[in-house]
Amino acid sequence: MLLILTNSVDSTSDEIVRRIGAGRVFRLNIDQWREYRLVIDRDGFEIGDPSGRSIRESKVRACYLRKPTFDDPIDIPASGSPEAWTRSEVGAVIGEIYGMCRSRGLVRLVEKGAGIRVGKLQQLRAAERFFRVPRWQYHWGDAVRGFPERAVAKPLGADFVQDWRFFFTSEVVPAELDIGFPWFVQERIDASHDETVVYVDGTIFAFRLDRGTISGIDWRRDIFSRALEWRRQPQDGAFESAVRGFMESAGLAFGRLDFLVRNGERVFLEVNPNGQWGWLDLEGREGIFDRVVQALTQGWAHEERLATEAAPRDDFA
Amino acid sequence: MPNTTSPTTLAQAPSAESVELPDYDWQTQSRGSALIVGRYTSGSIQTFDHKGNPKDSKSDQND
Repeated sequence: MLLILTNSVDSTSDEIVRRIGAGRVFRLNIDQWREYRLVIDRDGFEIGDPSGRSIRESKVRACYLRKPTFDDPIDIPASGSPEAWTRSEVGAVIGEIYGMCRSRGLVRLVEKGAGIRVGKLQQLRAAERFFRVPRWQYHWGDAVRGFPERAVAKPLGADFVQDWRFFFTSEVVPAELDIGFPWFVQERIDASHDETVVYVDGTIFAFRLDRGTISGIDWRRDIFSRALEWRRQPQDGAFESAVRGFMESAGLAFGRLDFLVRNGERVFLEVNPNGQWGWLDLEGREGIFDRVVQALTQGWAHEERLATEAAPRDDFA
Repeated sequence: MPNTTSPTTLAQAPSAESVELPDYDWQTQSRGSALIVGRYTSGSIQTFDHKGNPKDSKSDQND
């Protein structure tokens, strides 16, 4: 059985469950944690959902970390909040379940914590072996030195700055940055296209977006207001070899890599080790869902189907 | 104007949009709507919730 650690609004998981079959997947949605029954002791974990479906640790054949996040934000007083405490505790125990699966070699594709192990700045340094990389600098407490006049600033994290406003990648003049804040600045690349690449255990799916169709320099700003036309790119052997080399050097089996394209040359920006990708294959024609499902079910699904057909369901109660 | 640009002056509100959310079906373990894949998962980068409201996201949950 495949164990997916996610939330109930993750429709990429909806499609994965549909393709693999609800009988061969146990989906643990962190935001619905109160609906489940869960016991963990020295013998392992057992989880049951309201439909009667259940999973024991010994029955897990693969584990996929998607997006175990709570969907509704809460205000957290500095003095603490029972709901925030509970969410933190539930998040921690899901981390334990992930760790138990990982220790048994069951985790597929996405590694928890990879975004720290292979952080954005480390990525830029490592990527120089494989791609053109923009000039960059992280700094505070001192003015930027020797940096081009045209630059962009971007955050390393994803917290809101204030009043639910988000720090998208923005054009800046380095000399005007308030050095009382931390800054991640990059050389501005006058690109014709964004390119995003989904890497699934050695298989590469590349898409391009004409930057003339977006309103600023960060396409995420437009994701709700415009239909962004990402076009599949033909295979490019040299580029794909570079992507594989980079991902293997980073020890990542999965990721969504972002590039800018200037005069036909790709400039590496970053890789998101648990990046979203379902939106690039909405109709299922690009083969990304097929490849992900293959990676998640390889080596166990056929055998388990035969066993399931021969035996009653493993109920929790 | 040196040293006047701050994260506060650069931050912008997302162009968020509300999305109708079907009920979760425990039998199929799904909400069964491809629409959400396009309008929520894609778009969200897990930074906005299904109501179009911004939400926090960190570490493994980042886009």
